[in-house]
Amino acid sequence: MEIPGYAGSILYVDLTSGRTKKEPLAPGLARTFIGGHGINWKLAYDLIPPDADPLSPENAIIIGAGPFSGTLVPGAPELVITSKLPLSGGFGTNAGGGHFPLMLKSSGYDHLVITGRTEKPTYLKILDDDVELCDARDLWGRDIFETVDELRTRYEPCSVIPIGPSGEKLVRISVTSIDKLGTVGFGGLPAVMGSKNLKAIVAVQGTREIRVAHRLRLLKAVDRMLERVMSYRLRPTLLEGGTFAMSASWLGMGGQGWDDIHRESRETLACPSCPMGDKERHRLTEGDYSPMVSYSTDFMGEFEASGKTPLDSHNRAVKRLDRFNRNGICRFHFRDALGLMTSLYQQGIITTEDTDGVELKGDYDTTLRLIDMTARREGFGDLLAEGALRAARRIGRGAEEHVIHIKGCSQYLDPRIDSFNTMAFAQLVHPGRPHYACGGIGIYMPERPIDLFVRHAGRIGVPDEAIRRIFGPASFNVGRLTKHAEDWFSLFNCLGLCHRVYISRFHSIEGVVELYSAITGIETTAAELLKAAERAWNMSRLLNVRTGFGRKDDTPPRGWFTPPAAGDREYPLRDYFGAASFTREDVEGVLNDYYDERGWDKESGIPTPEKLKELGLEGYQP
Amino acid sequence: MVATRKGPPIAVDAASCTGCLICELRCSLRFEKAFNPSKSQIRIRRLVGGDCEYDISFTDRCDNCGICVRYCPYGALIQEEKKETA
Repeated sequence: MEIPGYAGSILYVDLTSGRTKKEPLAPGLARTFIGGHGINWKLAYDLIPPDADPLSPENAIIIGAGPFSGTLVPGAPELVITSKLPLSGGFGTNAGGGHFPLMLKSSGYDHLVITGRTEKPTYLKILDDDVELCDARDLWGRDIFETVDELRTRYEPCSVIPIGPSGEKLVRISVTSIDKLGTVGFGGLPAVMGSKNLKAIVAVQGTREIRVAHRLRLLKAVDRMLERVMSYRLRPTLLEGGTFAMSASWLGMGGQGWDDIHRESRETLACPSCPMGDKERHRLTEGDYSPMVSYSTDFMGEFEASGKTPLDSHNRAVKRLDRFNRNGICRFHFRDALGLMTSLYQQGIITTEDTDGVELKGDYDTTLRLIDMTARREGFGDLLAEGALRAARRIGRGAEEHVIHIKGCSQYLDPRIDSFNTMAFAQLVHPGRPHYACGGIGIYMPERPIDLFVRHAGRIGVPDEAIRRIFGPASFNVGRLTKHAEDWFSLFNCLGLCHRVYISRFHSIEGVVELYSAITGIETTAAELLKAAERAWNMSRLLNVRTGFGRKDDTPPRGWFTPPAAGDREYPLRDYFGAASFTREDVEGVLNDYYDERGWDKESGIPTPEKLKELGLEGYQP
Repeated sequence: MVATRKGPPIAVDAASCTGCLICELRCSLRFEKAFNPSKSQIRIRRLVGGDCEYDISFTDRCDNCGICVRYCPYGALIQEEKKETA
C-alpha cells in the first residue's frame, strides 16, 4: 500500500536503449530511507558502480522529490539530484528549488533514474505514463534561459531542468538552474547531463493527485506556520528588496548605493508553496545593457563571488550575473580559477602565451568574454573550464601551491574572513564535495551570543545530552554541533523542504514531525526522523568511502593557515568568537570531535560497524 | 458546467503573482481533497516574453469561494468583502 504524500513510483530511463520502466516505490524503502535525499542515496548505492567515470554512460542521474513537495507545506519545493560529479570525482547531492518536484509527482513519480547515453542531442519529456525521448538538435547550443523558454512554449505548465553551453561542453565548473530560478549542479552536474547528450528534462503537469493522510490536521499546521510567516517583521524587506536587501539588513552592510535601483528593477518570484519568495526577475529599462530581462536565485551572491573584478554599476552587475546564469557557469569556481590565473599573470608566472593572447587585467569586459569562452571551452576558456586546481596542474610552474581547494573544488566560505564557524567547517567534511550543509541561523554572522545557538540547537532537535556536550558557558564545539546541523539539513532534503534561511527559520523539529505525520499517516518522533536523516548522511559517506574518500580528504587546505592581508591588517584563521588564532592542530582536533559525534573512525573517517548497526545499515559496506 | 457563485468576483493583479501556486494547491485540495494544480479552478500559467511572468485565469467551475484569495501571500488576488447574509 502506498504511503500518503508520495506519488508512489520510480521512473527508470535508459538513454542508450531508449527503454523506460515504471516501478512502484516500496513502502518499506520510503519508511527507512525517507524521500529525496534518503531514497536517492539508496538508489545510488545500488545502481552506480563506485569506479564509474562521472562522464560515462554508467554514471546515473538520480532525481528525487520528498513527501512534503507538491503539498501546501510552506517552502517545500526542494529537488534533490544525486550523481557522481566530475569536479571532485566524488558522489554528491545537489538540491535546488523550482517547480520540478511538484510536476514530477503530478505524473506519479517520486524518483527519476537516468542512465546511459543517447547518440544525438535529446531531451526527456515526462507526462503521466507518456515518457518520451525527444530530438533536441534544435536546442543544442542554446543558453539556459532560451532552452527553458522554448520548452515552456511547447509544454507549459511544466518544469525544466536544462543545461547550457557549459554542460554541452562538459565544463567541470558548470551549474544550471531549474526553471531559470533554482540553482543546482555544483560540482559539474550539467557536464554529466552533457555527457549523456541530455539537453533537458521536462516534467509536464500530470493528472496524478497527491493525497495526504490527515487533511485537516495538515491544514491546521500549515495555517499556523503561515500566520507566523506573514507577520515576520523582515518579510516586507525581502519582498521589496530581495536577498540583497535582507543581507544588507542582517549584516549591516550597505547596498553599494544600489538599494533603490535594485528595488525598482526587480520582481519577486517564488518556488511552489513558498510565501517567502526570494527569486528574482530583473528588468533593466535604461542605462547599460538595457532593455534586458534576467533571472537569478540570489543577487547578493553576485557580490560574494565578485572577486577581484570591480563592479561600478547595478546594470553591469545584473549583466554579469545574466552571463553566468545563461551559460551555466559556477560563479565561485570561475572566481577562483580566474583569480588564480590573474595572480599568476601579474606575477609573471604565466604570460599571454598561456592565455591565448588574453590580457588578464581583472577588468569587467574581459571577465564577460572569459565567461563565454569558459562555457564553450574556447581558447584559454578551456583551461578555466577545468577549475582552479586542474588548471594549475596543467600550467605547472608551482601554480598548484597557490590554490585553496577542498576535494578539488572551491570553498564557498573563507573562514579566515568569516571566522571558523560550523558552515566553514562543514565544507571540509561534506561527503564527495564541499558544501556548507548545515542549518545556518545564527551562524552566518560571527560572534553571536551563545544562547542563540542553544535555542537554535533545541529547535532543530539536538538532544539535551548532546547540548550539554556541545555548549559551554561562553563557547561551543564546532565539530559536534556541525554533526547535528548536517542532520537537520539532511532531513530537509529528505522531505523536500527548502533550507534557505528566509523560510527554514520558521521550521522546528516539533513542527516537522507534526507535518510528516499529518501527510504520511506515520506517527513518528523527532528522534526517529533525525535518525533517518542521519542514515541518509551515512549512506552518502559510505558511497564516497567506496570511491576512495576519507579523512585524508577532509583535512583543511594549506591556505587556511596563511593569513591574507588587507592594508596593514592580516586575517589569520581564528575561532568563531575571534578570540584566538586557530592552528592546523586545532582544526584537526575539531575533526576528531566531529568524527566522534558522528560515530566514525577517527583515523579513517569511515562509519564504524557500531554506527552502521545503530542505523540499520549493517548490510552496506564502505 | 458553470458553478453557482458563492461570493463576489475575484480580481487579479498578475504583476504581483510570484508563481508560488499556493492558490492552485489550496483550490485543488478544496475540490478534490488532494493536491494537483491540474484539478484547481484557478489557473496560473507562465508567459514567455510577457510583461508579467504569470497569467491568472479561472475555470467555469470556479464558484468565487475566495479560498485562493485568503491563501495568496502576495496580494495577487483581490475579492470584495463578502456580504453577511441574515
